[in-house]
Amino acid sequence: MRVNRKQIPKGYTHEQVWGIPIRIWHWLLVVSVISGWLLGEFRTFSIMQWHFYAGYCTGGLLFIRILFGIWGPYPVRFSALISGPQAMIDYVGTLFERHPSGSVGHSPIGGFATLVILICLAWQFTTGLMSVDDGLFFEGPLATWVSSEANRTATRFHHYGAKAILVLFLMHIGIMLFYKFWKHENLALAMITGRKLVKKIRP
Amino acid sequence: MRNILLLLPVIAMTMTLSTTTYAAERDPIKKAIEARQAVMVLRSWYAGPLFGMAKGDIEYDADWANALANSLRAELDTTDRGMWPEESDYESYSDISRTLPEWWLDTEGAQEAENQYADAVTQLAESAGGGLNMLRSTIGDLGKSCKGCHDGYRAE
Repeated sequence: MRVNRKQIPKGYTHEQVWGIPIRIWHWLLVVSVISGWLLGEFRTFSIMQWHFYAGYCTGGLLFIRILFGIWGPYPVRFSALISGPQAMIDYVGTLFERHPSGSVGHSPIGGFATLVILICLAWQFTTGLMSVDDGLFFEGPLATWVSSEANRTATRFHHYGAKAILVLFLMHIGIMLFYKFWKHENLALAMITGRKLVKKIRP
Repeated sequence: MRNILLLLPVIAMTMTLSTTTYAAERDPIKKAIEARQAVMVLRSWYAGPLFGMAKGDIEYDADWANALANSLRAELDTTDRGMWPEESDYESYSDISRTLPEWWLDTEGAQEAENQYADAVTQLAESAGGGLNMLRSTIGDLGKSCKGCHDGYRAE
C-alpha cells in the first residue's frame, strides 16, 4: 500500500515510522482487548474461562509494551510518549488546522492518550486478577491472596475499568476518524503499513 | 459531693452507650439482614463444589453432586419473606446490607429473579447426579440466575 507521490501534500514526506513488531503488537492488543471486553460483558459460566485467557494475553502484551517502551525504537519509547505541558498546549492550538499533524510517531496529545490507555489496561489486568464473580463462581488467580473486602473493591474497580475502556475505545476510533476526514491523515492505515506522513523540518 | 457530680456525666455516657449497643443488638432489621445473608452463605456453600466439579477443579462425584443439588433444592422451601423487611436496603444499612432499593421497588423483576433461581435449582437437582455432562448442562442456568440477581439488585 504505497501512497502515490501526488497524494503527498507539500511539506511532508511519507516515511516508515512504525516497525513490524509494534504493528503486530497493536493489532494483537485490539483482538485481545475487544474479545476480553465482550467475553467479560456478556460472561456466562461456559465462556468465563476465555475471558481469563484474553486477560492473560492482554497482560502479556502489556509486559512486552514495557520492554518496547524502554528498549524499543524511538517512536514507541516511553520518552517519546511523554511531552511537556507546553508542547501539549501548543499542539492543541494546531489541532483543528485542516492538514496532517505530520508527527514522527505520536503527537504530544497522542502520546499522552497512549499512556492513558496503557495505564487503564494495566489497571484492568491487575484488578481482574483479584476480582470475584460470586454469581458464576469464578475468581481471579490472585483473589485468594487478598481479603474479601479487597476482592469486592477490585471487582468494583474492574467493572468501572470496563466502562472506562469502552469510553477510551470509542474516543480512539472517533479521533482516528477526525484525523482521517478533518486532517486528511490516515493513522489507521499507518498502523497497518507502518508508513505515515511526516512533516519536513524545513518545508 | 463534687466527686459525685463529676461522676454523673460518666454514668450518663455509660448508660447511653449501653442502651444504643443494646438497641443495635436487638434491631429486628439487622437480624433480618443477617438471616438472609446466612441463606446466601449456605447457598454458596452448596453451589461452590458443584461449580468446581463443572469447571473440573474438583473431581466429579455423583452422590455428592446429587446431595448438594438437593440441599439447594430443599433450601427453597425454607425462605421467609420476613427476612426482607422494608428499609433494610443498602441505603438504610450501608454498613451491612448490599440489597439495592430496586429489590423492593421492582417487585415484578425481583419475583422473576426468584423464579429463575428456583427453576434453575429444580433442574439442577434432577440432573446433577446423572453424570458430569448432565451437571454441566444445567449449572450454567444457575450461574446465570445468581449473576442476574447480583447485577440487578446488589450493591457492588
